[in-house]
Amino acid sequence: MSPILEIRGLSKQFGGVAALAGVDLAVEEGEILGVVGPNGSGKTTLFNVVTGVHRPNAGSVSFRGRDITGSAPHAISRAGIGYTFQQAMAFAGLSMLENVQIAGEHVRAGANANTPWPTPQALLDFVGLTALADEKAGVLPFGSLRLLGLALALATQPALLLLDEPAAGLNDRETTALVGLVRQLPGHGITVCVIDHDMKLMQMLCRRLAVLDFGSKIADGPTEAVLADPKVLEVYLGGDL
Amino acid sequence: MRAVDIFIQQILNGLSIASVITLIAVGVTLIFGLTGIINFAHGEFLMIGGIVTWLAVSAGLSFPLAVVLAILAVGLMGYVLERGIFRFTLERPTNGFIVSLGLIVVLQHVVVLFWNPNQKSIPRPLTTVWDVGGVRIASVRVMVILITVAVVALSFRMITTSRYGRALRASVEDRDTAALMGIPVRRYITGVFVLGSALAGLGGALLIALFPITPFIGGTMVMKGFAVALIGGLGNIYGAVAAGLILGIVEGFSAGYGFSQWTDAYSFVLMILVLLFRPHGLFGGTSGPRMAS
Repeated sequence: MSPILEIRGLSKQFGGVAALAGVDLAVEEGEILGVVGPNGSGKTTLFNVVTGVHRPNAGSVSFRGRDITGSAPHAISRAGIGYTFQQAMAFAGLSMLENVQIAGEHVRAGANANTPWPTPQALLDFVGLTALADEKAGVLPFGSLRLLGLALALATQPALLLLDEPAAGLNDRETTALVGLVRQLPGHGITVCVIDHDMKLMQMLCRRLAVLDFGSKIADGPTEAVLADPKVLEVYLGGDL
Repeated sequence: MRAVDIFIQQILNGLSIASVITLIAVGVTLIFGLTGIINFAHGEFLMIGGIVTWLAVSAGLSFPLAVVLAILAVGLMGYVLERGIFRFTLERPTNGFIVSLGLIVVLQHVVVLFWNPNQKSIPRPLTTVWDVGGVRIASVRVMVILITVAVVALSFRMITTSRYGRALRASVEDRDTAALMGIPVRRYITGVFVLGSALAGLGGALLIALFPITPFIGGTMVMKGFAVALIGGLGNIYGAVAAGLILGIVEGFSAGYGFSQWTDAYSFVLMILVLLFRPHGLFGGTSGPRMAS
């Protein structure tokens, strides 16, 4: 089966710095792929380029066989790629329910038509925020905002969901809850690609890992094998292991 | 009795001018909220609206038709300027602000070049003066207030209840997240520029119905519009409308009680006081659009 997302030779320069230096990466349909790497290795840039926040200097991104390189963020969202930022994302002045409503209102039919959450309420139920539906997003604690961000991304009915450090700032209980939710996604027809440097989290979530270092991919394979790779240990753990 | 008459008349005067200023303030605040650009050329947009009205009425068209032309012309101008210039300053709102300063000079002198720098006026579209229990009410002022109320109420309704309005408010709150939700934010930015410009065009048409204007009227009007937007909270459309109302009443009050030479100062004194004690305005503004770093 051809991959749902195929990245070829992707490069992105900021000034003289190469944040991405020719990255190749394929995300297979139905998997949860982890992308790890030290700070500044280009993980977030990779997501930002795929989702159209930044334009690449070279390379291509194709989604379900269609070239989406350099498309506008809203077009990529409508094509079926969901994205959650590293920072909490929400429209602070609007209620939780309104937030999810807006996120679902601009979907093109067909992105992922058999969404298991047909209504905003169903989505709030799924992420466990029903009780807070009428609260303004701006007054909520960080953990709830994280879950709201997940609900927003899911409301766009993605076939592929990119999560940028979804557990950053969450406590253990919240992290466990989040992992439980994310693991259900492939069962609902949503492929997941997640960035994090929390190895414990990645081991819980992903059967396959790709490792970035200085904008290049240095390893890609089954989680166990990648974590045992001396090259990975050296850049990622500073060679201490 | 007489004091009350004067008071009511002055409030009406104050409110009619405040209507025009509110139309500017709403445009300034909407454009700032979505783009971070403080468009100081907005006053010149209003002036162009007045000039178009003057041209149309001088050419023999009726006033209502002239108003529609002014709205369309300035709306179109806003579209062209957004697509042609402001689009390229979105990442650096300060550049957009500086561009708007340049536009002030360009727009003023285009008018001077093609016509002249003199005062322009049209015959009052409504000349009736009602006498209600001793209070003399100029119908043209009532018309200005009613048109503003109707247009602002309509904009309000659009922004608060429609799907597009919700997407607009979401984009003001967080431009990047909105784009990820499939909202075509750039198109909304163009839309807001066109809406804001059209409101300024209407404001210009209403202003020339009240007073003669010169090609240099924009400066005073935008300063007051900006003050109103700041008092209400920059980026907050509710705030702009409420602050416009407050300003109209304050100015009317001051003119009615013998401080008329100070009328122009009130908006600025009010602005300074509000900003001293409530830096985000009376009703809370935004700090401009949130953007990816």
